[in-house]
Amino acid sequence: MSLKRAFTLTELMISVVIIGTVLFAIVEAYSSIQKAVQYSKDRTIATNLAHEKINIIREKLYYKAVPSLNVSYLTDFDPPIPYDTVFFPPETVLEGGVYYTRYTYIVPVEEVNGSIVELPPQSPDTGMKKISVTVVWSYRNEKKKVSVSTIYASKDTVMRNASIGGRIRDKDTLAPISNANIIIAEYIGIVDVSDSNGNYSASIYPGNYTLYVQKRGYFPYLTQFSVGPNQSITKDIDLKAMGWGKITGVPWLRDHLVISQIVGSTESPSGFDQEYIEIFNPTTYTWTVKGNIGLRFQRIYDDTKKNILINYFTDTISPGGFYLFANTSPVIINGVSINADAVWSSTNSSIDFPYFNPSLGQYNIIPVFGDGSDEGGGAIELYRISDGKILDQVGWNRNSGTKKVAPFCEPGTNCQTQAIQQNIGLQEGEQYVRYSSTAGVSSVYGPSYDSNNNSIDFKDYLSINISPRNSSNLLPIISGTPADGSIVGCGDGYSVSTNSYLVGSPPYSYFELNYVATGTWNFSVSSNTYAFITDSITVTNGSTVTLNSVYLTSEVSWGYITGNLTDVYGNNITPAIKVLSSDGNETYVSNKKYTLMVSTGVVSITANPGNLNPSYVSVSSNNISINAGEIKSGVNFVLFQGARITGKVVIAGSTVAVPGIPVLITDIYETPRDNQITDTSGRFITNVLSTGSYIVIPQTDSKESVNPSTYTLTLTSPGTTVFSTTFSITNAIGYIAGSVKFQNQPIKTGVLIVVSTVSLSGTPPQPPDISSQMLSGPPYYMASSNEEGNYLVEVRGSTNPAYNVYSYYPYLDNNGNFVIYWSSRTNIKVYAGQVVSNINFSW
Amino acid sequence: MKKGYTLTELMAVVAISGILIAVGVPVLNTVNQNIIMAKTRLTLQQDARTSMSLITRVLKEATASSIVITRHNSSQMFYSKIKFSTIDGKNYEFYQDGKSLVMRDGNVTRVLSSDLRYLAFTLTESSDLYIVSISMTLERYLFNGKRKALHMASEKVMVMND
Repeated sequence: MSLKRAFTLTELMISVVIIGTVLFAIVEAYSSIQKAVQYSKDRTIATNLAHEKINIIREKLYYKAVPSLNVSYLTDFDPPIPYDTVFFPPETVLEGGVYYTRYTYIVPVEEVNGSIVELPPQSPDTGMKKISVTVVWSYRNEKKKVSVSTIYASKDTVMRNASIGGRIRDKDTLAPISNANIIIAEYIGIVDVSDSNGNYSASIYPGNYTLYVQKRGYFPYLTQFSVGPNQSITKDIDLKAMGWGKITGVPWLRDHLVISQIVGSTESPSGFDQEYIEIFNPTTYTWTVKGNIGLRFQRIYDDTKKNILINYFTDTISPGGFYLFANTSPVIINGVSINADAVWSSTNSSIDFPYFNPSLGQYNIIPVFGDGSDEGGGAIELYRISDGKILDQVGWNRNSGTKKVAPFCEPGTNCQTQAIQQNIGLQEGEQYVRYSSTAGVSSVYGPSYDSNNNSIDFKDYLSINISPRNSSNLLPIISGTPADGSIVGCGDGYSVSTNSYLVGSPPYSYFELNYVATGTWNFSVSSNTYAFITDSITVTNGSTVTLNSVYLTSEVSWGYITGNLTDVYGNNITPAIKVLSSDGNETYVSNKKYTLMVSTGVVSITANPGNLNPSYVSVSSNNISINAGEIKSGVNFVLFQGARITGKVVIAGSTVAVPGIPVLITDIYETPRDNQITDTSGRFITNVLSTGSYIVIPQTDSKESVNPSTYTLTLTSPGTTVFSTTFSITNAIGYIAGSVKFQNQPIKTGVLIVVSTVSLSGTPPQPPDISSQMLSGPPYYMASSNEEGNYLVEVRGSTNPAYNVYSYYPYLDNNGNFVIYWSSRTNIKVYAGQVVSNINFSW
Repeated sequence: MKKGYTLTELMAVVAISGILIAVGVPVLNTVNQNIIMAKTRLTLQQDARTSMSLITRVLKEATASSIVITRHNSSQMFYSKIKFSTIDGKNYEFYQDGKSLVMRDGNVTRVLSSDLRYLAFTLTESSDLYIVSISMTLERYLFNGKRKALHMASEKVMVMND
């Protein structure tokens, strides 16, 4: 019979816990589903808000959608999202209990071969702008966003209906020049490149321009031209050949200590089995070796590298000097005694090194073939003790018998073929010696050649041919590591940086920098953070400067940008123009050239920032990437002269300023050249415009009118600011704003606001029905308050008659019926461009 | 061998159950209320969105000259009704009638929501019938009127035809 028993208290409690856990899990799951649903709703609302903002902007005049000049970035997202901070600042909207922030960004765009290209904000108006609205909200402590973009095209989109074309030739030979850059200074960029027959052409907007033609090996050519709508003009240009030469050279990187000699076994006169490792310093600075530089060895039988314990006698290794590690001191070779700078410590373990056992009179870390047991292969490593950084590695194979490959060799190489190739490995009396140059081993030059391939860099001798050297020896250096792919640049302002490449066997690195203008320039070769920099390389016409060995020995963390800067006639500008980099470095142009030291990475540079020299425009060159030690040449600028236009907009018949009125400035061909908005004092001021005639046109909507409607003026004196005129405007927009409250709480459900100069009658005062019958007569303005209990109504500026503001709040009484609560304010005077705030209503 | 509960065990069970119920019921009640609130809010959002997209879709097709903004009858809010004809000659009305949001498509009327608290069709300026702002608030009272769920939606519609 089975034993039946009731639940114990513990069992009951456990089941309660289990049931509780399950219930909790269900509730959690339900709430997470709810949250996911919530996210999709939030997203829909955000999208609607973005579309709404775009509609609000598109509803305004095209010229009121001013491109964003003052831009900040939302860095919570990658890539960061730009937004306008001045004309369309961020705004917060509460909807469905969630706060959404709307960010707006407007850029001029242009259609190029069917795709839309963004232009710099100062570009002349193309009749098209891209409006991007990003709505950001927080969802479970995480920022979420929705972005919507649209193209806003002006009704009178300007067409590139003018053109320029022609032929580029060599002034002396009259041969066509291909690949010349055709630049229009006012467009900031290349508009065409000449073809094989020297022909070029470009479609442009009608206007006055500066043409700039640039070709390596020729002096740049500048000319000014004017072209009207539907007009084509021809400019044939002959370029004068410039004197130029070239620079060639062999760059070597000398940045690390190298293992220069390895001997595994050689007998002293007394019969002691000597072994040693010699180190060489090809760098230009002294290294501390004592306690700082160590050695590791690995036999072909071991699984891991073993640290060699060392007693150091000498502290440092000098530039061009040696350092000798040995198992005894002195080392006696061919009857000559040489002191070691450090010796193996007697505490090295015989477990790590089976041929090292002082009690048995054995002092060998590195086994040789004669030790038997297939010994003879191995690898040695020179490293920095503090951080384990590997300075150099040498491995040697034992290719015959039971074939064995070195356990390691130079990082990234295949030891099968790139370790020192040996039949029976390292032998008694054998030595490996590093090359002094591609020519081989030398006893008079430092063993510094390091192509990162042990099979090429070392020669083996079956007897000691090159005696070991210690810290008392110094040798001159004629090589290093071939600086493959190093960047070569010259500050002549014309040549283009080039890269070095490997040639020969054993390999060395080589470069050829062409079309370097004649003169004395700064010049650099850089690889990673090591560089060779000089400021006095002289190039003469038709010659080649040959630099047999260029040593990259100095560590740098910056680069240089150089180029030419002239006025439109190719002349130097005085007072000197400032050039500023985006990382904050600056310099001044001297004799048409500038050299700017910049931090590495991507930078933008601006010539004449902020119109510091007010007679000239400001021009930027973006996204220049620069490496450490690099000289980037040919970042050239042509600055055209100009002046600014200012003016004022007031309410007709008064001196009251009207802010927020867009003002368009076109040239005489009606091509837009600038677009500004009046500030709080009703004034506007343009960017620097090139000298010439302009038309100032305040932009008004169909209800507004302005007098005069346009104003034409001519800018003749560069650097001046010319006052156009005072424009009088009637019927411009102003605002009435306020809050709505019920029992001191903001009303979240909506209050209707009606504004008119008409006095309404009835209880509550009854506004008229709105229809197309109402188009004439005094207008009514309406709005609903938002979820936060605030409202904003746009009205035409009017003080006489002043406005009446009516508000209506549908209150739901206890019986579920609506009662309209209402209130009104009279004699509200609104000036154009101003906000009359605090017109609050409460019940 | 059979063994029942001892009196002490039973008393402990009863005591623990009592405590659990005393603590758990109000907690469960709150959780339940919150879930109902969230659910109602979502329903209102969904209703508002559906109604709003219906109105904007039809209103876009309207001819501006046919638009009339008024109220359904004298006990409704001002400007809580819009009447218009579309470019293909169909007549529509959207209006508030008490708590109902009503759509009239030709001769067919349909209630889009019964939770309407506020509806207003406004123009930036009465002489410009091409941009209509719609503001709509849905509201539902829960738990004997002690709490309410609320959703406000607003949108601007560009009327495409003269």
